Amino acid sequence: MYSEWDGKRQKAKGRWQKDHLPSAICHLPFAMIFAFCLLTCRMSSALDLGDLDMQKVVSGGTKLAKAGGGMSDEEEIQIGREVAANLAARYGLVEDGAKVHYVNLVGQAVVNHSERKKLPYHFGILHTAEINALATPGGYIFITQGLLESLKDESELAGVLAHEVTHVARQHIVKAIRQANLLEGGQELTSAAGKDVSSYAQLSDYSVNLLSKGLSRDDELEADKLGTILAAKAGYDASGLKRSIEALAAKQKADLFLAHFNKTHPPPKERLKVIDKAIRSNHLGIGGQRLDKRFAQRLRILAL
Amino acid sequence: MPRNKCVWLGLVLLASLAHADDPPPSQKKKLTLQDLLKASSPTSSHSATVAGVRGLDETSAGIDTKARNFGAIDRLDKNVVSPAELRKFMEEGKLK
Repeated sequence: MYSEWDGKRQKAKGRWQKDHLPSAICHLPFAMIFAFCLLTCRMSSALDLGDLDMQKVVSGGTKLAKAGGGMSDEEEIQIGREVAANLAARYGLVEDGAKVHYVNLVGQAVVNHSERKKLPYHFGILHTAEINALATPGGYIFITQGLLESLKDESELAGVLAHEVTHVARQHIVKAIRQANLLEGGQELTSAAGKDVSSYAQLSDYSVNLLSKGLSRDDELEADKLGTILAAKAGYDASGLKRSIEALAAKQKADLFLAHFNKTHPPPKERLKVIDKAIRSNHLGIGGQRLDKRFAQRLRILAL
Repeated sequence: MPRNKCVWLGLVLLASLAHADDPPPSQKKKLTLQDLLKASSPTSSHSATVAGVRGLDETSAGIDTKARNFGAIDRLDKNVVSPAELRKFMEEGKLK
């Protein structure tokens, strides 16, 4: 329906166009030039980087992105090797080739099912009665002689090693370094800014301190959960890690050799709960190998 | 009226062009690489803290972080498991 009111509205609209449109068309180029000038003015401020070398910025940006996402495998191995050399200097390594080789065989059987099996993993035995196991970035994994002697079978050893392999695979130490922001901007950026920094030494010193104080509770529990699954995938009895923790929990709390282990890991009760849940929810309870005879034959007695 | 508006716009245009050519104010800090990094850092406000990593606020007295024994690690590196040996080891243990 076309009413009289509609007609009036059309007339009014036509009048507005006649009165205002030429003016708007007149202003349009000015408005556009004005907007362009404002934009130019803003951009000249934003890009005022002084005497900054843009090549270094580009290189730095790449490194920054890398720091955000972790570090390269080569860098991680380099840092891990430094940390491993520090542990070897502080504790000494068991040099019995056959025993070390056996621990490596069990470790490699576990690594075979790891989500990060391309790394060159190395498994060593620390010459100490302390009870602990440690992983460095890049795949150097150590079990102490004290812990090795407390284990009953190969599935327990596999469980312990799988826990440590998970720390490496999940880059828990690298993550901790990143959280501490040591890699903020990347080491190359510091060099680009004209400073000489020994990055590997700094990062490995930090990693050594981190290992001595322990990873986060969440990372430890994740290593318990995924380590249990990993050992089971390799064909071992899924309760290996659980039984090794139960045995340690049964020891005297005041045991000096356990002091560091207790300090750097969540309470056994909490760990066992997580492991039980992993076994239940992944139906890992039946059919895994314990291999107690092979364990006893290969290791015999590791006298200190 | 339209002419007046054009004059105003012209003035604003001239002012903006003049401002673009101005040198930066004296109090304006020259942007350095480190400033750029700080600005780029997604966690800049929390970068100094390490919450979530247990014990980092503790001192590390008693640990010699500088000690190294690369000879021992070189020997450990030489302890290599061949694929054939690993396969045999797994078969013997009925592993997967």
